[in-house]
Amino acid sequence: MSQLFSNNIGSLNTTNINFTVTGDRSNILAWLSPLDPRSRHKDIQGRRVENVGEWILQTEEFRSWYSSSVEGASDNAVFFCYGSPGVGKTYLR
Amino acid sequence: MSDDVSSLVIDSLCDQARGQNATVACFYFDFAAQNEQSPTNMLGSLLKQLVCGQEEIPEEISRAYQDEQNAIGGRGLQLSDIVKMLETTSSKKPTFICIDALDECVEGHRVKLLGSLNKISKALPILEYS
Repeated sequence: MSQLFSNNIGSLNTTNINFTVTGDRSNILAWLSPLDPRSRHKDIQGRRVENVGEWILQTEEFRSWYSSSVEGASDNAVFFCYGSPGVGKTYLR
Repeated sequence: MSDDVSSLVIDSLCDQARGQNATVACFYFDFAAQNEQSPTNMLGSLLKQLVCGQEEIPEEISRAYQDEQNAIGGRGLQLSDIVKMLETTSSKKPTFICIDALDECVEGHRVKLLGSLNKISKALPILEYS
């Protein structure tokens, strides 16, 4: 009987611990920031036209930035892309 | 650059990152959301994305959270706290940060943001779109 009782306590504790950890995780994430850029990403992802813009992945600039980044070379860490308003950025949409 | 191109690059990085044990975090600036897109919230959201991909929340972060909960009134998460946590988290494995429409970030915020990213970027690659 006491064996059964302690087993039950054991499983009860485990449940509580799991619950707390899960709760803390989402609380901590929410505490870090109220913003959720991934939802904006999903939205844009859904409106993207297939094969448009693929060229950027093929450029020498992008490739060399990517490969040196993977190797951990920090002197090449920033890849900055710019374009004035009205040059066709919206057109790509 | 259009949102589409950066969104495409983000997906491409995510695909490639999976094989490299790397993580990717993104951010889209928006004129319409300038008030809530403060440097603290913005960098916090990068950190949130990096942490999301990990099985466990790094101890440094959960400890800071607990301290904050125990403090009376709580001083709130400071920019310097987030930068420190980002430095530690991003140094553990290859990390890509993609930022879209930097020109839509308030100028005063942008200075702080770039200063913080500069600190963090000593150890990781960053992709920025204006």
